[in-house]
Amino acid sequence: MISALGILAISSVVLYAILDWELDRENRQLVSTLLAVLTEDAQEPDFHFLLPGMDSPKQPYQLRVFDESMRVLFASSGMVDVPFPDRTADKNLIVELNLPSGRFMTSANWTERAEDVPFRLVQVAVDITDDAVLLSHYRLAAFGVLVTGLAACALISVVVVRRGLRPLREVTLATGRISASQLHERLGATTWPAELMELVTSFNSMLSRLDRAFQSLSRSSSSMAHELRTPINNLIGEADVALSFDRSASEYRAVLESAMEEYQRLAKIVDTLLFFARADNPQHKLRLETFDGAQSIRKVVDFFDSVAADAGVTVTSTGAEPVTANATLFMQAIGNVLNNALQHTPAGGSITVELGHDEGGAARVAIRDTGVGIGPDDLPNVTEHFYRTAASRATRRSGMGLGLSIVKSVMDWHSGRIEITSELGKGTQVVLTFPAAQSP
Amino acid sequence: MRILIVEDEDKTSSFLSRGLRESGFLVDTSPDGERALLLVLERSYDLVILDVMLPGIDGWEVLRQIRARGLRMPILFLTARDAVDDRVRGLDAGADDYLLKPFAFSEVLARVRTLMRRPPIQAREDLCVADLEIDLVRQRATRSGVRLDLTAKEFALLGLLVRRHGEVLSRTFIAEQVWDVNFDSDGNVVDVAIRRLRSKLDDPFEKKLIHTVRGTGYVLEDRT
Repeated sequence: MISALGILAISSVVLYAILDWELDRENRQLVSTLLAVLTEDAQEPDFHFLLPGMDSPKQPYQLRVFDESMRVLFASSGMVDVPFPDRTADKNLIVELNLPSGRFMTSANWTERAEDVPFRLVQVAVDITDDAVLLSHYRLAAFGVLVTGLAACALISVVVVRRGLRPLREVTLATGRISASQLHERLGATTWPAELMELVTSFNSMLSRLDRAFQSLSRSSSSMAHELRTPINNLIGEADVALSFDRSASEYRAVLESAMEEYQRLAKIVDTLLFFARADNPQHKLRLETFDGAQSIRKVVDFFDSVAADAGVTVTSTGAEPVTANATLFMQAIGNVLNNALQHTPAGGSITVELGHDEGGAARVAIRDTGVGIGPDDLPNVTEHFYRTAASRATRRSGMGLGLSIVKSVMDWHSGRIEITSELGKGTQVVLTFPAAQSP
Repeated sequence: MRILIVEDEDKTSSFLSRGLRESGFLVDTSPDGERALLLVLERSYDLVILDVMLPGIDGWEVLRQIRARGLRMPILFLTARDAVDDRVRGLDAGADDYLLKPFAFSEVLARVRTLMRRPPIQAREDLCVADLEIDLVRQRATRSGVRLDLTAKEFALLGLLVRRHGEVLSRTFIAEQVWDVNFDSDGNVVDVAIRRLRSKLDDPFEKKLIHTVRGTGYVLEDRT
């Protein structure tokens, strides 16, 4: 808006300057021409024939003639106020005068000094009052145009900016409406101008991500509350019943022992939550080391040996590969996956743990079972905190539903990946990828 | 055997000192690092149980200053899992250990005994409890003269229980000692291993030797 106004102002000034200069040039030309013609006429012995019509105050040009000794021979009535010229009059010198009777442009010239020619000084004055008035009108008009232009500019800008920003304001209003309880709301997809389409699309996809994260968070906190409620409920109930009558020492002992079990459960929940908090905090750097992956896997498999024997499942491990990871968490991740596999593989089945590497040199542990598999509805959620499939909820044999979510945290912490593929009734494959060591 | 407990939480400090006193140790306590540093110079301790989070100077600084004064007694750290730094594992002194809060007392006791290298209650040479005899060299176990058919890990588990017989061992401690794994498992791996061991050790005999201590762990003892 300011630039528009600037252009307007500059062009007015330029036009004014051009007009001023043009008028001035025309007037000077008029003065020169008149002076030349009249000087020539004044060389005639009798110059009065020049006068008729000129001796009127309305006449735009006026004349005065002097003799050699600067006595006025003749003066038109308009010349009253115009001062006498110098004796050394120069026809090229044109003087502009501001007089009470108006504005004049004047010049004077001597006739040629020759035989039989009267030596006279001719002074011409042209009234340019009208031009000055014209210019002052013009100035006024330009100023008016400028002011009007400014107002128009401002008005148009406001209207244009408002119109242009209206979709943005609508976006703002729409985002303002979205609170945690309305994360499912999206910005309408059709009415936006092209410039905003990208913003709206990425905003909507951010909302989807938030929505998913929020839902998963609220699901896991509700499962967590439930998970905490059970042991606390048992503790309160048992203590309450125990205290309602006098009991023998062994009965009190049994209550305390049962309480110990519940405390252990609570301790485990707290411990795991602290682990998640720590894994989620990017400030906690992992202490990594490079070790023989096969040996660590063998240890884990050994550990689960009795469970596998009990379940009638054979576990075999293959492959050799150096792994760069946090050794304890590496074993923890494999242990949890293996534990899960053991719980969902019926007797006679088998589990293989295969250690290898991918094209990028990252260590890759694939754990395959011939178990019941995970349904497509559950598959995306199995790594969520406290998530249990309907089947495992029914049997209540698989702990708290934290196993795979711990694995996920471990993998995230290592900037690694967990990929789970499964087919109902055929089995599940979990692939853990630990990135190769960063060369320093 | 004198132990110093440096812990600012009253209840924790109190149950630790009570439990350790009842297990036959002499116990002093200090609620902060400054007093602990005075105490370690004044008396000679065989072990220090040190909370990492202390008011004033923290556990790491207390450790540093204890070592700077040339004292080499083992130090057992108590710390919360979210604060476990891998520095713990990197501690130079091999004997040092740490425990994650929350912990059970039996866990503390097992570690204290390990750190102080206290000989098991039973002398090492004749590893026998009641009618159970084990021969660590030949990896053999017999009950009432009957040879028990155990796998290598089952034997290792039985060996641990016999060597620490009369002591309640937690599942975590057992997993660490027998399988050398120190990750938490959601499942009941140790329980299954114990059950399988029991089926060979106790089921065929009248007298049961392995006992479950609910909420804590397992103990092998002759309860007659």
